[in-house]
Parts: sequence; structure tokens; C-alpha cells
Amino acid sequence: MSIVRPSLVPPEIFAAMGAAPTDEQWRAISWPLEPCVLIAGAGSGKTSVMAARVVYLALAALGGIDGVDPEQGVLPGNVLCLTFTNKATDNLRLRVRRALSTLELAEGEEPEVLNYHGFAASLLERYGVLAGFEPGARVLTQAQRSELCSSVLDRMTFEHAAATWQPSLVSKILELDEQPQNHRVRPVQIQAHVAARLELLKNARSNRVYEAAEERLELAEACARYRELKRELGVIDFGDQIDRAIEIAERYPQIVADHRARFRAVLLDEYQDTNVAQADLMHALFGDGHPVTAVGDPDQNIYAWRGASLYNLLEFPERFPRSEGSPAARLPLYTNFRSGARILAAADTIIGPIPDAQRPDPDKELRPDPANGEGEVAVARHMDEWTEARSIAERVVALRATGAAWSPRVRARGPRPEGVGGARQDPARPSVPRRVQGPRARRPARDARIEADARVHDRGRRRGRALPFRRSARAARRGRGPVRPGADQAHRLPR
Amino acid sequence: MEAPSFSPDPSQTQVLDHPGGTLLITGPAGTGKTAALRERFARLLQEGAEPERVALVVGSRRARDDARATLLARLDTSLPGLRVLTFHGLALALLKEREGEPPEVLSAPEQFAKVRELLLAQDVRAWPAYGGLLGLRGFADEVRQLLSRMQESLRTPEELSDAAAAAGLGGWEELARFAAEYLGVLDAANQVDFAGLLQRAALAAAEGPPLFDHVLVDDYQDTTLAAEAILRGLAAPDLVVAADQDAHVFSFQGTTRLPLDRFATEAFPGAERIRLTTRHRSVSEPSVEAWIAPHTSEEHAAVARELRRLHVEEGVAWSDLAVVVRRQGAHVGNLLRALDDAQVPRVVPERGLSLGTAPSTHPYVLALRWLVAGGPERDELVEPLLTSDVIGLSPAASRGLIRRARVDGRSAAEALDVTEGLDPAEADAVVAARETLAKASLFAGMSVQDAFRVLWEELPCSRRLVEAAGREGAEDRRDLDTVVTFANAVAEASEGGDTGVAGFLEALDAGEHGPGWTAWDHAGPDAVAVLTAHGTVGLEFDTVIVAGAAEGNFPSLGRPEPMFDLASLERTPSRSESVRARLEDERRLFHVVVGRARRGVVLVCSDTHADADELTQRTRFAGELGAIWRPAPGSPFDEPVSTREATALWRRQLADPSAEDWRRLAALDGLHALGSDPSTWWFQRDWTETGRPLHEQLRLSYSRLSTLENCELQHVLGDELGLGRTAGYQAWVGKLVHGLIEQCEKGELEKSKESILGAIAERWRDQEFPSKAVSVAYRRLVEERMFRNWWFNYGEGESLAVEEFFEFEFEGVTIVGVIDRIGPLASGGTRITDFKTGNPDNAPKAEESLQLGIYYLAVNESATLERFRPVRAVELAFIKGHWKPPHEIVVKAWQVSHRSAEQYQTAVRETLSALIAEQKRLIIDEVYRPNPQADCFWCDFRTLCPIWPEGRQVFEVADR
Repeated sequence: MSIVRPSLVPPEIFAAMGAAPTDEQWRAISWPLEPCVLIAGAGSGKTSVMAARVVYLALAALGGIDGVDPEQGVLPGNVLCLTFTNKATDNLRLRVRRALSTLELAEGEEPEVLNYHGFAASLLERYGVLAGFEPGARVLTQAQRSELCSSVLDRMTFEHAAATWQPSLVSKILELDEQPQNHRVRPVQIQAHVAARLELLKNARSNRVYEAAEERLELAEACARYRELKRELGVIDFGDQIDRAIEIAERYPQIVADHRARFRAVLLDEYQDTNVAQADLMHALFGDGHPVTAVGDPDQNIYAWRGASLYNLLEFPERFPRSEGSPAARLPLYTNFRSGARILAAADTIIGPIPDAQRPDPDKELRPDPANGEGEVAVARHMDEWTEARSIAERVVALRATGAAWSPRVRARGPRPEGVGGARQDPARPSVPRRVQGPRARRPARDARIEADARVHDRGRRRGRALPFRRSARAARRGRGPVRPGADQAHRLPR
Repeated sequence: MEAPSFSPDPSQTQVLDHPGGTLLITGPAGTGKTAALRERFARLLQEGAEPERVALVVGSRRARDDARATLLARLDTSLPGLRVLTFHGLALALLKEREGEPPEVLSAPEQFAKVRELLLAQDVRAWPAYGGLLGLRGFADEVRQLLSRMQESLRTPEELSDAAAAAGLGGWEELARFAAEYLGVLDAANQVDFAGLLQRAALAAAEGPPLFDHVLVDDYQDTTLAAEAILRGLAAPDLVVAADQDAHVFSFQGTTRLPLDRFATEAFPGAERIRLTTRHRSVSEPSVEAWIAPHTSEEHAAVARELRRLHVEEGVAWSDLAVVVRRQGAHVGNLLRALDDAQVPRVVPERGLSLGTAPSTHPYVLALRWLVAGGPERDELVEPLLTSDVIGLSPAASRGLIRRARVDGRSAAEALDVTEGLDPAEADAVVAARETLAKASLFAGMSVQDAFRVLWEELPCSRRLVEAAGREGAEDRRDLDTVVTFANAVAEASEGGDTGVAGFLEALDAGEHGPGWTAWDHAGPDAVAVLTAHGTVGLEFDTVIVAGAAEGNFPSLGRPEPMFDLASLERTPSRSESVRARLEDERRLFHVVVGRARRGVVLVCSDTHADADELTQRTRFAGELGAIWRPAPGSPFDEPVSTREATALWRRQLADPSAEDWRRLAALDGLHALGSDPSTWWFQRDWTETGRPLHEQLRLSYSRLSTLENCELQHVLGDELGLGRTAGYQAWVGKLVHGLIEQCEKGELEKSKESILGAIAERWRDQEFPSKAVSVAYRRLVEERMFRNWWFNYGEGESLAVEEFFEFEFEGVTIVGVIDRIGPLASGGTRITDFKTGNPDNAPKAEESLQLGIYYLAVNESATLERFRPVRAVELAFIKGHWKPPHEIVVKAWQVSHRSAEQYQTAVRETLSALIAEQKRLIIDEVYRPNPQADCFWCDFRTLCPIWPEGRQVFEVADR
């Protein structure tokens, strides 16, 4: 199918994109109502394209696209957009809302924008009772999972697994609970699989294999008991939510029909990061030719460690075929609007040595947008992380002197991002305003701690015991209370 | 009260002068509909109408109590027969009149219990569609809602079944059959639920002469078809109905606007209409502000501060302020905590908002749960119970009890029968609690009130609450108040046929569906009201602060829809339609909340993401009111609005050497006036000023020096101030192992496998470990690796000394310590050994170990250790062994040859000298800097450390 970009792009699309879409982008935006997958490279403007597609479908439904039957459009109220993180969700929601504000739509014509977990949770909330799940089951936080798992450790002991350090034992068990669940494997399956091979492994050259198998059997047992405990207490975790949602979708065709009627078009963002369970849920609800647009970048599959499966993206065309059975279309978005040509060339050079057979998408190529110029790539090597941090700061300061905004981002990957990225701060470093992003960013940690503190405080109060130190520390952190010393006398003991 | 000085505007006068017949008054909030109705009611009575034949019908119990109070004041007489009623009250009165014996009315929780009971008794085979769900509470609740909606909309089970069949909905015939059965069961017992009461009254109303001459109805925007039918059936010659169509907000409770919309057309054709337009509530439109805070905790702090500012600076009474949240939930707890922190007095008038979860009611709820819990549930409850105020054990002690019970082969729940290992006071507490619970459990099945009475009278926490309330402090009184409210809830639950503890807990857990709105007591404590949006209906405040004014929360579009929706009998609405309807609901609710304020409204929301302000989804309603978002005002110390803030500010000024003298003196004056006691100033208190340095005689040990070597801040907080955490189980194991080795070497314990294992068995304490699994694993480690390794490497040889104490002077400092083992070397001289029970992975080389260096120096310097010279080898022995099987011992050793001895000693002296100089300098400077290169993994003070994000706000980094 070839789609020609009209000479006059509807102004609403232009407004949603902030620029005229390229042919490549227009094709993705205006693809007919059928399953398709966008292979979007870094910086290819995929969020804009998704927002623009919502606008396009709305325009089409209102009869605003020449030559397109309004039946081929969908009003935003019947669109579902799923993303991976809360932040991406808010980002997309805002983009879509802004883009739609140029259209005269009735109130309530807003797409449902959620993350995959939130979607599963709402499905469970709405239909859980049908599948026999009591509503309002408490969803465990990570800390509560650890807590609950710890109580398993009072009921069993370990012969093979290292059990002298509780935190690592707990995290091993929880990992064995979560990872297989992401891949829709149950502890009993693991136990059966390992047990069946135990004899075979005895003859393996290294004992370690055999020991690891025995350890895994034990952990799987602990894991099964942990699940048992969850069931007894009527609590669930994130993994269970998806699990149950799939169960509901697979058992009740009425619910599938209801979803397809409610959401006549579905957009799935960051599809390369979904895990097997999430993809199964999407398939159960929206397979069979329902118009699903998945967007992903096979080279940005960064959540493999928590179960993301790249195959979801690569196998999308076969898994979500058109109604008549042929594989869904695969639409590339290769032009990079972010980086200069030299930067892309550097990226190519790095990826270059990987043989095609090992690359998820060997056809993918990033094309620079001439408007971005050449760009600059520098490589530096430092003695240690502190000199590295300092030199980065100096470089940022130097860039600032040339008139750049305070926006360069320091990307740190490695065993200790906090050392380089700047969570742990070297007081001797030049002063650069900064914000730490990612899981160790400031606020969540602080918030969690304030909560924990408050809990301790409450408990102390209930027992009539004051906890002066922590209490004061907490008050000081909030900038009131009695102990905050003046800036000039930091941690100086007063005379 | 506004009534005595009521001066009606022209439209209100029309209402008062209405000669009779049917009249509909509409008008937005604050136009005096309610006041006009009340005045009309009062004048009717004054003009001689028969009190029994005049009825004022209002929307809620709260409005009823309000109206009664106002009217009694207005009429200046005591009128027991004053007919001020809710629709339910009206229905009850009507049935009493028409039928003689009115039916017993089931409360919502009782209705739920009845539905559940009937569902559980159903034959699964008769339920092909929903048979699998009969046992679920969630299903029972859905069915309960359907039953209420069905009766409210005046449908019969047969109609329900037919409509469902026509709409092609499967499974509804099962529901309709059940509905018929349910109604039959209630009828037989002369019972009705709330909805049924109205339906029955609607049927009875029309049979017979009119009961009332005058009927006045308020808040008609939130009503039901059944209520409409009652009004029609009553056929009062004079009917005046007031409503605000924009205030219809209780649709989730099954009310509808339909009766209002068709009032003058279908229901009462030819009714007159009067529209009120003059606003009485506020002189001017309230101002609307919109604040955005960077984080929820800061949002709550801003709310608390603004309340305080309004109270202190503008003189607004606490009770004239309200904080409104969209709905109940865990976040309300954080908000309340922020208000408490800022010492803002507050009340939570809606029951269910915090009653079951408040810290002060927690022990009673726990104890009640325990009474009705089965075995496995008790296993889960026992630990919370032991550590709660019911008993008050420490977590460690309670875990110890539970483990002991398990070890004895009993269930965890039976830990309550164990007192071994407790100190006498703890044991007494356990025994007392056990007896109290046993006594209370006698009543558990029959009466929650009696069970609660036993708990209240006998649990020690009750006494503490009462005592605390006698002291100063609003906080403590509030705790008692909360328990009293809880006790009232208990009493109320037992009024209509006590369902026992289980029934009460079920109602409590039902939360939103549980107990309805309580009467809001205006004469209550002078405190800020924390309300849900729906809870504000009918109230009025000077300023209303709406917390959580964010998209997704307010408007909140995510409310789950009922499983069995009567609307779907007509047709299933599209998603856009339901979103639109929901948005309209939310907008009306929002305007109701905003309409509560006379002077000002503040909307506050916070950013959900740490790093992108523009992502915040601020509520769209703010823009519709013309408010512009701006950052929430911070918490400036320059204008303190509480004594606590003032104290903090003035203390800082006092302590600031760069401030002008007059300012510092003024601060001192202020502090004096506040009665602030310097001896309570933590961290600012002067150390006893002896005129001498902190340490006159420095005594240092390796462990102190090693902390210092790692980080100055860790050193001062941990070693000097002693703020470190108590050592964990690894340290306990280390002490145990060292002790056993010492006893073996000294001959106090026989050097045999049996005696060592025996000693371990005797001394091992499971309670020291976080879990049984860890304890068992560690014990195996100690028995099979540590002692094996020690045995093969040291056990057979003789030692010269073990646990040898030393003390020597070095550059004016006394260095002390204990050497684990000194043994002979075959080649002459001695060897110093330090046993390590930890991991060898990151251990230093022996020649670089400060610890071994100090020991080496000690033998050479200390006279008492002279006999061990010359030392020819030093070593760290990691008896836990290598991580790989067979886990052989790892020894980091250094041979001190004749040639290298001097060099080694010099190196040790230099290191030690530098550290001591550092230590001395710190004592003089008293400025402690964190070390950015430190190993922080085990540090307890990261939350206080400026180089970690967690601690940055506590201390700023000082330059020396």
C-alpha cells in the first residue's frame, strides 16, 4: 500500500507535530484502521507521531480528511493509548490534549492514556469479580513484598541456597516470583523442569550446574510458599494484576467484545519494553485484526532485566495479523530529528561490528536530518570517577560560557551511576545546577524516608516514647523545627 | 443563626407569600433557598398551621439536624412535634400512619449482610451464569447495589427480568429471581432496606387522605424516583420544592436529577416556578487561587501553612476553614499528619475516613479482629497484636515469642500463651491481655458493644488515653476523641439488632458502603474540618482549600462502574458519553465544593514527577474559574505563624554570629517570652564548657581510627555522639565465635567437636536473626566452616595468649585494644592473628592493615606484652573461608623479617601519626566533613550526609 502525503497537510496535524510531517511520518499517521507496527529509531519523533495519529483519526471521523470515509476514523473518546512509565503516560496525555485542543470536540472526547500496569489494574477492578477475584485487593509495594517474603523465611530453611544474608535471599525469591511471571511461567513448572533434569545435571562437568539447580528448586519452593501466603492474605502484586487480567480476557469473550467496542483504536507505546505477559494481554484483548498501532525501537530494549521481550516487537506483524490473515504492516520511522550527522555516524560505528544476524532489525538505519548539522562527538578517559565527574562539570560550565542553556544531560551508565551522574556529590566540584533523573532521583527516596520516619514517629508516640533524634532530623529536613543550623555552621558542634 | 434577622429579597418574598399549590424554587448555591424554606416553615406555624401537618423534608441527616436547630431558635418554642425529616424519616412516618406497625429498616451494612447470607445459601445450579461468584463479597456488594437501584427506580423483579431479556443481557434472570426472593424474605420479616422503605412508602402514600397540608422539600436535585412518587402520592395541597440543578452530586449513591428535570412537566404539571438569583452567602465572589507544589509532602505543608496563616494573620476561626479532598484514601493520612505537624487542630467529621485506621483506635480494631479470627487469620494477627498497644511488646520480643511457639510445635497464634523469655512486666502484659481477650470473646458472637466494653475497660491503652487527654496537648485529646467516636459507631451498630463483632467489622471494612454520613456537629471542637468533596454538601466556610486538585483526582474519571447497571437496560453508553457524563458530575461536584467558600478558595496540586514540571496535570476546572497556577508559597521563616516556627527562627537569629546585635537580643527576648527552654534544644545545647578540649586524654582503638580513616562525619556521629545503630546479627555471631575460641584456648571449654557443638547449641539464639532460615544457615556456617577452619589451622597448636588486652602511649594518645591470638612460630618469634568472621573479598593486604599495624606496634611498645617480642608475622584469618567449596580458610599474612621490620614499623607509625593528628585537629576545629571517597555501604548516616541526596537538606557542606 502506498500512501501519498497530501500537498496540504491538515493544519491540526501540523499543530500537533509542531512541523510538517515527513512522508515517512505521514504514512504512519494516516495508516488505515488495521494493525501496524512502527519501527521508530531514536529521535524520530514517535510521541509526536502518536499524538498526531490520534488527531488524524479524530479528523477522519469528523469527515475532515478528503477521500477518507468517516468510518475509517475514530473519535478520541474511543482511543486507548498505553505507555510504559508514569512519566511517559503524563507526557503523552499532555501532548494529545494539546493536539486535540485545536479541534472542536465535545467534552469527554479524550483518549484513555494509561500505562500497561494501570490498564491491567483497571481491567481487574472492573471485571475482577467475574473471574472470582474479590475487588479492592491490596496491591503490595516493593517493601511490602519483601516484608511478606521475609515471613516465608520463618517457615522454611535452606540447604542449598545461600541464606546468611536475608536481603539477598529475599530478593532472589522475589525475582523468581516476578521474572517467570513476566514470562507466564509458574513456580511448579520451574520445579518440574529442574527436577526432571537433576539426574542429567549430576553428570555435568562442573558441579556448579548441579548446585545451581538444587538452589533453584529450593527457591522455587520458597516462591510457591510466598504465593500461597499472598493468596491467603488476599493481597496481590503488580505481576498478579497482569496475570489475572489475562485470565479474565481469555475466559470472557464478552469482556473482549466490550473492550473492542469501547476502544476502536489502540496505540501501544514502547512496545519493545513490554514483557510476555503484557503482550499476551494485548493479544487476548485486541488480537484478530483490531486496529492496534504498536510503536517501538528494537535498539532501545532496555528493560530486558525485568522481563521485557524484544520478540513482542519483532513478531508483532505475525502475532497481530490483519483481519484477513496477512501479517500486519511494518512501517519504519528512521529519520532522526535530534542528533547531528556525526553523532549518528558514531552510533553506527559502534553498532557496525555486530553481525546482521545478531541485530534485532538489520534493516534499521538512522538518517540524519540536515537541519541538525554535524554535531560533535568527544571521547575521554579519566583516572577515576571523581576526575571524570569533575571534567564533565567543567565541560558543562565551558558549554554554558558559549551560551548553551543549562540543559545538557549527563548520561551515566555503569555500575555506579550516582558517582558520575552526580547523586553523590563531591563538594569540590564546580557548581552546576542539576537534577538527577531516573530511579535514584531525589524525591522518591526522600519521600519514602519521610514516610518511614513518620511511621517510626507515630509508633513512638503511641507508645509514649519520644524519638528525639529522628524526629528532629525529620523536622530539619523539612526546613522547620528546631534543629536546622545556620548555613555557615553546618555540622559544627556549638561551643 | 440567620433566621431571626431574616430579611428576604423580592424573590424570596414571593416564596414566603406563595398562597398554596405546587411551587418549584431553583437557584444556584448561596441564593437562600434553604433559608427561604425554613422561614416559610416558621411562618406557617406562627400563622397557626397545625405543626403535625407541616413537613420540611431535607436531603441528609446533617441538614435535618441543622434545620431543627435553626427552627427551634427561630420559633423560640420547644416543639417536639416539629416535622423536619429526611425522605427516609418521612417514609417511616407515613408507613406508621398508614400501616400502624412500621417495618424494621435495615441499615446499609445490615442489608449487605442479609444479601450475603442469602447468596451463600443459594443453590449454585440455579445460577448458570453467576454461580461461581456467589461466595464473593464483591459480588454480594454488586447485587446489593442492584437491589437498591431497582427499588429506587420503582421497578419490580419481573420488570427487571423483562427489560434485561429485551436488551439481550444474559444472566439477569438469575438476578431478578434472586431479587424476588430477597424481597419476599424481607417482607416475611416485616423488614425493608432503605430503598425498599421509600418504595413501600410511595405505594402507601396515595392510599388515603392527604397527610400534610404543607410540604416543603429541599435539595431536590439529589433524589430518587421513589421519593418523587411519595410526593405525588402525598398530594399535599401546598408543595414547595427547592433545588439547584447544578448541585446534583450524589449520582453514585443512586440519586438522579430526573425528578427535578420533569418536575413542572410530567410530575406536577402546571407547577409555578420561582428562580432565586440574589446571592446571600458572600458579599463578593470568593477569590480563587491555584498553587502548584513540587511534591505531595510540600503540597500538604503548604496547606497546613496557609491554614495557620489564615488563622493567625487574618483571624479566621479554625472551624471556619476546611480542607477538601476528592475522596478517602491513604493520602488523607499524609495530609492529616502534615496538619498535626504544623499543630493545626483538625477534625475528620466523616466516619470511615479514618476511624478504622487511626492509631488510637488501632488496638481496639485489632483486638476485635482477633476475637472473631480463625486459626490461620490469628497466625497473621498475632504479631501486630503483640506489638500493638494491646500488649506493647517490642518487635524483637514478639518475634521471639512466636518463634518459641513454633519451636514447641504450636501455631504462631499460640504465642499468646507463651511468656518464657520475657521480663516480668512484659509477661504480666501478655497474661493480662490474654485474660481480657478471653473475656471479651465470650461476647464476640452476640454483641459488639459488650465486647468493646470489656476491651475498653480492661486494656491498659484506654487508661493511657484518658490520662494523656488530661494533660495539655490537643493531640492527645484528639486521640481520645477518636476512640469516643469509634465507641459511638459501635453503639450505633448495636442499636438495630446487634450483629456481633463480625458484622461490625464487616461494616467497618465496607468503608464507603458502610456507615453513612454522620451529623456534623457545629458545636464541636474549634478545628479545621477535613472533608471529602461529597462531605461538604450543605456546609459553609470562610475559606476552602482543595488538596489534590489534579487531573485524574479531581476530576476523577476512573471510578469503576457498577457491574449491573440499570442504564444498560436501555442501551450501553459509549465511552465518550460516559466520560462526558462523568466529567459533568465532577464539574458539578467541584462547583459545590467551591460554592462552600465565602471568601476564598485555594486549589493545590503537586507534581507527580521529580523532573518535569510541565507534565503536571493540573485540574482543568481551575482554568474554568479563571485561576492562574503559580508555585505554592514556600515556608519562609521571616514571618513565623506558629510558636514553633518563631522559636526556630529566633534560635537561628540568636545563634547567627553575623547578625546585628540588636537582632540577636530581640531574638533572645522573643525566646524568653515564648518560654522556650534552652536545655531542651537538641543539638544546639552547649556541651559542658570545661575550658578544656573535648577529650583531655585521648584513648583510641582500631575501630575508632578506622571509622575516622573512612569518614570524619561518620566518626563524629557514630563514635563521638554514639548515634550508630546497634550492631546486627553478624556482630552477634562474631562475638559468639570469638568467645568460644577464647574459652577453648584458655581450656575453659574442652577442645573437642562435641563440646564445641554443645556450647553452640546452648548459646545459639534464633531471636537474634531476622528469620529462622537465616539463623539456621548461619549456624551451619559457624559449625561447619568457621570452627572447622579454626580447628584445622589453630585448634591443635598452642597459643601464647588469646584476647590479650593492651594499652600504650603514642604521641600523647593512649591506644587500647585486644589482640585475638598470639602464637609461637617454629622459626622463632611470634605471630599475631586476628580472627575475622566476615567476608575476605575486600580485605586489605596484611601489610596495609591498620589493625595489624597497631597490634604490631602494641607488642613492641607495651611493657606488658614484652614477652611476645619479636613479632615475626601478622595475619588476618578469615575463618568463614573462601566462597568456593571446600571453603578453605583465607589468611592474609605478612612476614616481618629482620630487614623489613623497621620499614614496616615506620609505615605504621606514619599512618597512625597522621590519623592521630587528624583526630586532634578535629577536636580543636569541631568541623567534620564527609569524605566523598568513603565506603558508605555500611554507614548509618547517609540520611544525614550532605554528599548523599537523602541528607543534603540536613547539613550543608561547610568549608573549613
